[in-house]
Amino acid sequence: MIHSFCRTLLFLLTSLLLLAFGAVAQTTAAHLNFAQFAQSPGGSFDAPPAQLELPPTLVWQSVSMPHVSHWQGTAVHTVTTAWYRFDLSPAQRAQWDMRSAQQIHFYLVRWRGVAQIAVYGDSGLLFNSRGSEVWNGFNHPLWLALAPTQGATVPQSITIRLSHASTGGAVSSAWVGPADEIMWRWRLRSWLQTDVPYFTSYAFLGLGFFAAFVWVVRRREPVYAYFAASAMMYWVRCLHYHWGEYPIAIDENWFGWATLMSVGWLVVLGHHMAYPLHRQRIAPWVVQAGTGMMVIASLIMLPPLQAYVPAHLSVSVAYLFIILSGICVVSVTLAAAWRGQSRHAKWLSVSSAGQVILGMHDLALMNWRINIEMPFLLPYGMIGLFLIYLAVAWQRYVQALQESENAQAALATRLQAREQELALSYEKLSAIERQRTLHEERQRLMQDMHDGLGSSLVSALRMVEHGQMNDDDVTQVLKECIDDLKLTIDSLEPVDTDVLLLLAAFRFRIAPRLEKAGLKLQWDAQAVPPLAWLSPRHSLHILRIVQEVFTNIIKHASAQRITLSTEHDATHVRIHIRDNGKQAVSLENTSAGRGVANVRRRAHAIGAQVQWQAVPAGMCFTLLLPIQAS
Amino acid sequence: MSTSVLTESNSPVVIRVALVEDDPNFRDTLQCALSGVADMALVATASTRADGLNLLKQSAAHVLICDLGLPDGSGIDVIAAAQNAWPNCAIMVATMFGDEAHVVKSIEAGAAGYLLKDSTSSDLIDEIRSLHAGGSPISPFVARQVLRRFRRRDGVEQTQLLEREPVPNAAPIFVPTSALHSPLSVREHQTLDYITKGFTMDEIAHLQGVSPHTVKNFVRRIYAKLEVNSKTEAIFEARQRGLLM
Repeated sequence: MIHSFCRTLLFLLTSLLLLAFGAVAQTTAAHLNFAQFAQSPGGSFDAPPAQLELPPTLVWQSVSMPHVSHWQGTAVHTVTTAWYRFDLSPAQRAQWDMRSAQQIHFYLVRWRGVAQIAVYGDSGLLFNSRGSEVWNGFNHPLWLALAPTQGATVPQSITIRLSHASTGGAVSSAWVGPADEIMWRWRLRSWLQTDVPYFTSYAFLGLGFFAAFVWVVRRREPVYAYFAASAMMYWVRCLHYHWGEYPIAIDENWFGWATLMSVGWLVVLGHHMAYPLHRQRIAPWVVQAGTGMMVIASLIMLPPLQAYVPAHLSVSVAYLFIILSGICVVSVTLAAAWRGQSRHAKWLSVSSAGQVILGMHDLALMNWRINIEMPFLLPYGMIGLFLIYLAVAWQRYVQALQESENAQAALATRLQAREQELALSYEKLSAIERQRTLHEERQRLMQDMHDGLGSSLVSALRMVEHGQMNDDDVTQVLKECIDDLKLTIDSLEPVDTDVLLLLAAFRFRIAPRLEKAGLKLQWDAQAVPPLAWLSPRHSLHILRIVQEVFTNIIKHASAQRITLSTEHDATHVRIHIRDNGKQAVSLENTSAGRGVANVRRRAHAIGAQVQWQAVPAGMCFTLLLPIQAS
Repeated sequence: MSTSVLTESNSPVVIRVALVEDDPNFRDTLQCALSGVADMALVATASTRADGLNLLKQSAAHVLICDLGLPDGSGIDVIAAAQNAWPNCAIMVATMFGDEAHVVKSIEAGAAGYLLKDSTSSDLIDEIRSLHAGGSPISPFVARQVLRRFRRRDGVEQTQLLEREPVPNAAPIFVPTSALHSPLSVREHQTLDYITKGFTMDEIAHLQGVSPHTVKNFVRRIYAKLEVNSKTEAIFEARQRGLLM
């Protein structure tokens, strides 16, 4: 990202330069490197007169431009006036005669100082700076039409009046010529000196707001707050470079304080931001001490306290202080970065070192130690620093996206694996369950065949073998076997919790036998609640119990009538089978006794209870079934 | 139809019985039982499905007894074919256990009753005679299954009803939905219900104040409705699928 930005910038500059060379090829413009210079003590920051009024005692001397005018005063608040005169040669002016005079422009690269400026063409006023002597638009290059009005001619000389305070003042070299030849110079310089700080400060301010909103929801990461604060400070600082000569909304001294302190705070905030990158290779107290010092400096420099200190002195001292603390910070971070592995930490510390160098350059520029035509470089350095932070943020963002994607993919894979496992184990379980059900069913039928059909057939076989059975007996045994088999088949029919249906099926089967035995069956079945636990296994047990009871009555009770009735309460269903036969006989008889034991066993197996009760004229058998499975 | 059958049964006309059965023992048993009575005669027998279908080309019998498990296919096919070929013939399925699955399937194909193979000769004769007289036997399990079939049909018809436009100004009639939409009459429904609770035909007749024979006639009608019902359901299902496709 940084590379592509640099390439774009380079391309832009190269194109501008090529354009410039194209213009230079047939130039009639003049670079004014020399001027006539004179000084007069005294003067004021008041508005200049419309006609040039030169003091009578001026001593002119030729100087090369740019040139610094030093203060000649004696009292602190007095003003010194410097005069610069550019004489335009007749030859040059003759060249321009072919063009319209309105085309000819004067471009002053820079003037600076706690000062006011007035520009005269011959003796008429062309321009005078506005604003105060401090905020006078010093960073804006000057672009003036030399003959702006109809019929006006290009002046023979241009005179500049610079009224400056004790800090001194300076005027750069100038260009004069047709607009199409020299305008690009003015445009390029304006772009570099004022426009770039202007739009970058707003761009970073936008990013700063974004970072602030991020910080609101992620308080654990103060780096976003530091970035937001830095963007704010940078924006304040850049007002210094692009504001121009228009009046400032707040008090000038406070504005000055804010733009000055913002540089120091940028250093401190940069240190805070860089701190986590160095991963504890810098002692926390270093950062804390830097912050503390900056707080103290900010307090000392508060405008109300400045009435007691000469302005230029305090400003210079402040810048010096900032640079010194910057040097300390940079040396610490550089050392830490080189000990550590972080690429970002290295970039950042190198960039910080660059900032300090640029800061020193700007301080030298302020104090006339460098050609005043040089632009202030700190804003550009700050751009680099911001870009590094953006690169870090960009990398973090992309990395986070990547990680989240990877995490999702991993999660999906794990989920899929788990699903497969579950499906597999479910399959296994259901296979086991199926196996178990089949096994149980087989067990049940085996048991039934063994106890009922099998043993009946075997005993019948033995008796036939020993000739103990006549044909009727054999028929009887076989009929009983078939009845048994039918009950087994019936137990396989799903009865869906309806025990009455089961009893109905039993009656349907037993009816012919009862009829044959001459027994009347009275059916008093009442609707009973559904029994949710009624499985084929339970059904068979119930059928066999009822069968056993009926068989006992048919065989041993000598009864004429059987009554089957059902009833229920909240917890149980009761099935009563009552006969009007001989009492007690059923329990004493050996085969019946075995039958009773069978009934008890089966009842126990399905969680039911049985009881026999002697009633007037007969017996009453009761099967007690729980409504809820126990 | 039942009137004409009744006249026939009272007249000296012989009940012509046809049998499709591969078990020679049962053939013998039946032959033996029928030869013992004057009003019945076994007029045709077949032991395979193919023979059974051929048998239907002859003149119609009054009663056809058909086994399901034939060596070359299912007796259900013979029952269905007989329903078309001999529309006035009463069809019985011969079964070992009278289990619900076999019986209901046969009734849906057009059978009017079933014959338990282990019945005594006199029971066999009684059952055939009862069937020929327009009655049908039923067991609790078969009754329960028949009830369930009609209830399922009800569900389908009710959803269809909901799609229709409501009739404006229609006086509200409080009739149980089952009675309104089920093709079973209230009486028939009640009969089936009693059977599932274990009551015999005689007891139900007494409870309903009709003759036992009338109850058996109810059952015959129920079987006829079940047959129609199963065919409607098949058509309905086919239409459903057609709509879905």
